[in-house]
Amino acid sequence: MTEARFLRSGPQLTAPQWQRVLMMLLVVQLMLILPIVLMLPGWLAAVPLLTGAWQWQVIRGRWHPPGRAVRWTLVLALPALLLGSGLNPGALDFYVALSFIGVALKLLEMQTYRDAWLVSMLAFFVLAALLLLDQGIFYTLYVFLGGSVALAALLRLHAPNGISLAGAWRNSARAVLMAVPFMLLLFVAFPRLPPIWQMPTMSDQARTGLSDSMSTGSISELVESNELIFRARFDGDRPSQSALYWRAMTLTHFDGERWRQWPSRSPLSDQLLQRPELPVAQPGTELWNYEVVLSPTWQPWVATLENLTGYQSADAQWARDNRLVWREQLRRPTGFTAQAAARVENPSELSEQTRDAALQLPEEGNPRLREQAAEWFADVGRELDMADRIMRFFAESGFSYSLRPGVYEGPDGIDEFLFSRQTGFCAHYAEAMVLMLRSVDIPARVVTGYLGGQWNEDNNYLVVRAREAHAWVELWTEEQGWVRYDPTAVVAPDRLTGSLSDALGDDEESLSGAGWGDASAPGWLQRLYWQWDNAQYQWQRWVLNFDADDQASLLDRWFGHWSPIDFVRYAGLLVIALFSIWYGIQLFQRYGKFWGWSRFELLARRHCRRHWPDLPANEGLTLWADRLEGRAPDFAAELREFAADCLAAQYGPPEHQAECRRRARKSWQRLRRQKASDTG
Amino acid sequence: MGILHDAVEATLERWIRSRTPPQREVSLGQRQIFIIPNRYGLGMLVLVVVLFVMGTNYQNNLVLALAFWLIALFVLSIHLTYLNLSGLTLHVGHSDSAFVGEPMQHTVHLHTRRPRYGLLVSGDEQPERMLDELPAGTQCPLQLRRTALIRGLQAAPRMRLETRFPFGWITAWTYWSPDQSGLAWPAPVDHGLDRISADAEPLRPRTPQRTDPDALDDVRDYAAGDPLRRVLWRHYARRGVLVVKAPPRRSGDTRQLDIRQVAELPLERGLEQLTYWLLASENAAEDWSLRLHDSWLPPGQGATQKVQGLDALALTGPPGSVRDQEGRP
Repeated sequence: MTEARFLRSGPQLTAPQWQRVLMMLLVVQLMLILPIVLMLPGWLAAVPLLTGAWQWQVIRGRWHPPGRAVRWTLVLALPALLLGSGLNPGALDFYVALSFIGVALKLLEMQTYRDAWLVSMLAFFVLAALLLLDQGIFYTLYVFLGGSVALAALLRLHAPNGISLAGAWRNSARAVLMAVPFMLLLFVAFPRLPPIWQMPTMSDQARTGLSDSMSTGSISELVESNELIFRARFDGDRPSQSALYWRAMTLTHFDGERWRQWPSRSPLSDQLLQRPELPVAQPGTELWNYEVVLSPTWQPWVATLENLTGYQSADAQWARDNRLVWREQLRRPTGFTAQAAARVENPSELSEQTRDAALQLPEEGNPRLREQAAEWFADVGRELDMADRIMRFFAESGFSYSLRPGVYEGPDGIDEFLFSRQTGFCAHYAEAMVLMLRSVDIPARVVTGYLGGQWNEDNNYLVVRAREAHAWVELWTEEQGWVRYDPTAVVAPDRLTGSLSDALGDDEESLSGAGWGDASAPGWLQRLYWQWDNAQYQWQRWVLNFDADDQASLLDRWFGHWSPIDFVRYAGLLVIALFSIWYGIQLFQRYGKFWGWSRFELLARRHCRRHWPDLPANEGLTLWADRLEGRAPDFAAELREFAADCLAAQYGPPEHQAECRRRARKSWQRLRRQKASDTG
Repeated sequence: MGILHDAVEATLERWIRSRTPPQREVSLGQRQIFIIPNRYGLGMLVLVVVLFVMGTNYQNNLVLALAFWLIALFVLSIHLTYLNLSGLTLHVGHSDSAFVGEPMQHTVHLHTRRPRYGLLVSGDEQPERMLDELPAGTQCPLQLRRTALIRGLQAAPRMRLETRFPFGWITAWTYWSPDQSGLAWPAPVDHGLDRISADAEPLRPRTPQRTDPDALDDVRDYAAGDPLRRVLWRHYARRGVLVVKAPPRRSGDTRQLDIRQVAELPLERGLEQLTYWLLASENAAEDWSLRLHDSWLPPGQGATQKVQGLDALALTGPPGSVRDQEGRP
């Protein structure tokens, strides 16, 4: 017995006990299937169903366990199938699927305690890995529920016969809930570390949000989605709805068909190279502070309010075309805070490189546009007047706003838009205006981003979705620097002040995919929608995006003003408080007896002695009852019964003690009344 | 390596024994309960580290939360596992007697106020017993088994009570040496000695067998405890001396078992031989008496006589014990 017995393998289980444990593990497996089917190839669901059913039959003694050949075939074939179904072995989801297959196959060889333990641990791993792929509120709850089932399975493994299903649930749920405060403490206080290495999460992740190139002419129909791009909350003042221009990127290079940010693929580094200086707010102008929580769009582009004057985030970089670019693709909800001003000081001059890029024009194409622009510029002569002239043209020539303008193909597509069909969406107007400006040597560029957004009035935050995407124009003047012009505003003014659906005709509204939070939905549905949206916002803000900065500021807010001496003082107080509580409990337990059953005994003694002072103090209640037999027979009988109950309550069989205690209490009340009536 | 291992183990064992001396009753608490994470618990911690690295790498707060949650559960399970043992009371019970070389049963009692789950009782020899569930207020007898190697009083073996409930990451266990002993009788072994020849020695002349119950040699002096029916009152009236009629013999023969019959064997083997004869006499349903160095058992038979004889054999001292010194000055 001296050997280290705690290193033994666990208890041996019999077949019916295994059935009880395996049932719980199968439930865990089934719980894993749902998210796997939603996020990964659906055929994976068949694997645990097959292996689980097989093992179930083995345990019931109907089938044979699979032979070595079958097991090896499965082990080799399933990863090959995974590869075949298009998952990239360089990405995380491949490994999630692989571990899922591992758990499912482990079900086939469940013979020892160790196997059952391994399956439950692997289930935790797969649940965690699935959290990398989805972080919604419901899914998180689901994961923790799955973890609780795995714990219940473990619990049952250690008392297979003794503990019922309900008992296992109750015990597991109790442990889970008791663990929550400690988990929250660790979550808030445990230091956050920077990542060690990284791996793409999904093999083929659909990107959302703006594309970094734009080919207006070839799009006949713009289907707009309700996909969330970001939420923003303003501290204090907020800009008017028509001033909410969220800049995401500038498209400078036009090759006749397609707009890009720059001529070739790579030179993002050019834009970031010499850490450009942030603009400075003009004195006396309005300032806005806001906080943004970005959805994972799998792109590095980030939309910020125009005239950004400051930002707080370690992962953001300030690009030379006045915008933020993230260091890497946004793969999780990410937050930052930023400041913007209504007006900023002009930058002194335009660099040669930027000027060249902003004047770039294809050699030929759209001849009417060039002619018209040259004609107008000859008339007005100044940059801003030229822009105003173009805006007047858009306002006065019967242009219309449409999400399905049809295709404008060929090298002269913009001529067709401007001078014959005259219907299009924001990108058409922006593109046409920039080309006109450039053809008369005014530096200009297309800016894409988002316009406006939907306010959640209760919570004072703004929701910006993919359908708020917008394109507008910036042109350079020596006097004022970059000036924004939005040609769409003069064609469809509603687009600025209201939502997108206001700007569209009835027949086009269906295209825009209005959400159920829109004004057209019934009131209760809208409220429900906004409550849910708010919950998601808070979830992203405080749980998913709780990073080292948040941690530091939170701890600073709670304990920041404490000096070391304060810490010592509070720790001392805490120790004293804990000791007092402990001592109080001890005292209570000791004197609790007085307030329990023996109090009646003491009171009864006092009562008797008060009426018959000659009763000897060294005798018990039973002897007193004997002495009182002659003097007060009724009282003596009652006292005898009371004494017997008191004795039984203390020394009798445990199962009757409670009852005796109750009887003694009743008896004491009778005793008191009786004597009172005797004397009265 | 081996020496170091042994030394560590011996030290550990001494320490454990010093903490758990033999006791008649023990209520398990911090002094008695040993608790340590087992290899499955360490495996769980490895999983937590993996999850932590995963969460840190992908900056995923939820995976971190899951890792923290598991850590919290781990810490909690230390308490839960401890609580599953703490407060249990163990009482000594009855020990059976057994021959040397046979397992001796010691019964102890386990009492719990709270419900307990998944207790594993083990010891040197008995098979492990899993107590899956003990409802509140259970009194449960446990059998401990130990094979005696020498005759005489045998202390009950140390028992081990283990639990891994609820999650199996932590092992909590306790040792308890019940302060109770059973009597180990000498093993019945026939060493081939001839009892009859020893009987024939003149040191104990054979009593002639009489069938007449009133014969004189069936009369002996009164001793305290003799039934009054047997007192020969006429004899008392005449002579003033109390004598009783000895009980009638059921069979003709009384086997005289005497330590001196096995004098040529070493003491222990001689006692084994006597035990063998004793059992043989019982089986043959014959009366027997037993003389040892320090005691004498009058003739008789039956269960009580047998147990008395075996107990005397188990407890007798070697020649040279107190009685012997008095006998041979």
